[in-house]
Amino acid sequence: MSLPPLPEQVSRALGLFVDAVRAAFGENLRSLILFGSAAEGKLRATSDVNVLIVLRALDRRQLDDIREPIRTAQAAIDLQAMFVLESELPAAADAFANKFEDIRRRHVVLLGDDVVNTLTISRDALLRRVRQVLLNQTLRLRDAYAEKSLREEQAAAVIADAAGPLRAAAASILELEGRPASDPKSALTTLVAGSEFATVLPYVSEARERKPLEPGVAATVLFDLTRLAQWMHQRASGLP
Amino acid sequence: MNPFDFYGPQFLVFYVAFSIFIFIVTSFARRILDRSVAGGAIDPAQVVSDPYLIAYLRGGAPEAARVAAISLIDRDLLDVSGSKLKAHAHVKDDHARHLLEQKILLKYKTSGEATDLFTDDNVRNACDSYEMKLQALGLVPNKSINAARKALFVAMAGVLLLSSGIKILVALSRGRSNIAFLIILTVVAILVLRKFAFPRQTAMGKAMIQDVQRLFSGLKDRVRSIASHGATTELAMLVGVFGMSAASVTTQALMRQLFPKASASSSSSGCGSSSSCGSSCGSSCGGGCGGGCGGCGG
Repeated sequence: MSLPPLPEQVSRALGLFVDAVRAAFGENLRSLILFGSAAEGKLRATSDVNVLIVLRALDRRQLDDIREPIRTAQAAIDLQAMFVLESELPAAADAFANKFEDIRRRHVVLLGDDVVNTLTISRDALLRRVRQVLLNQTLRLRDAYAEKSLREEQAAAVIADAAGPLRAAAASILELEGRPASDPKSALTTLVAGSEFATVLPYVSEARERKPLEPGVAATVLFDLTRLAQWMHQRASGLP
Repeated sequence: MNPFDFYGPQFLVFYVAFSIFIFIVTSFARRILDRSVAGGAIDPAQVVSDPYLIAYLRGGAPEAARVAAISLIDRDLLDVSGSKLKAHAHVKDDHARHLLEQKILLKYKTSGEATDLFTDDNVRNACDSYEMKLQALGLVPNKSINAARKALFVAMAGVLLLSSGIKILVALSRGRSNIAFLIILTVVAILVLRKFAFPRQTAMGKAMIQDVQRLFSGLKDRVRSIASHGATTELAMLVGVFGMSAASVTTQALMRQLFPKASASSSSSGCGSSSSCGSSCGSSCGGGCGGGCGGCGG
């Protein structure tokens, strides 16, 4: 197992979790995969650490054994785990094509085999899911603007949380357009380059770093993000 | 230059400097002894999953009980009313998994002062398993470590006593009787030496606390986003690993309301209340550690 460059406490806590997964699931474990920004070695202080645990079968006793370690890792490094059975992988990849496309782009195998690289994600499934995610984001951001933009810090938190799904969706759109980007962040930059939304992205990055935005900025950025999600949804809807 | 020929005030200054030197030597020697008696490095995996065990290591039984109480409050299993606690009406003690949590829920089946937690026998007994586990790991002194520490303490105290004894004899032989300051200074030096010889944690225990705090350093940065109502174990871990001072302002205010004495002193030591310290040390230090509860003093 070779980990990407990660902060020392993250690699140590992840190492403890990997040991616990190995001990809990033994031969039943097909694969343990690190994905997202941690897999790219681009973890920020506020990032969560995402792992995919692929099992051959579900055994309650084994799942019980991982309960303490998973809560500990969640507390230590904000670890978020997804448990999938090997037999469910194709259906999961189809239902959550956007997510699995992102996992396929950015992942590191910690234990077992690379079951993600061999996954087939159909164009139809990816397109359907991207549209769904973007419509969902549009509605949620609109709602969040109405509810939270009167409070600068709450608006900034919504902006920070929206960045991930929008970046992943941008990467999928570019993939569907036949011009894949190196990572989700640059995908969103490429997608909005030359558009009115290009100026919004630096504020999104600031919010992601949990830096306070200039007074009065957060509400405008949040509204622009709402429009950006809508714009991206229209763009995805126009794809064949 | 023979220091025993120094005049009274000169010798007192020399004795203070000499005592400090002895404290430093004792501290170094005690660390080496702790490690050599307890053996090699300890895998943090044996400690990190239990916030109460970590809290116990930091501050003994009162700290573990406080962390467990705050966790139960966060999980809506304990209700707060002023400085009193009461288990939620529908909650049975075995709703909780840890023995310590169960005993706290049992204690507060009927409403009671939060600080009564520290004098409850069942709660204290539930903490004994933590003491035993930490002793077995060599993170707090076990019998062999205590024996080694005692030998060191006796040797170093002997050096201090011998040097002041010689000076007293020299002074008396020269017809001087103003030895009261030296006697007082010697007693103070021995008391301070006890602190250096018998800290609550071993060298490995202190290192383990630092190690676990490094491991959970990210959690401190996420204080504002910690989920409430027990959705995660993050709050228990945060206060277990770093003490109450790391918690949100709201949680700290609640702790001040429930445990005013503890909150008034350093929360990281976890032994703010002298009464609670007294009770915990009885069970946790057991036979003959003498100053083994030194850590509770601060």
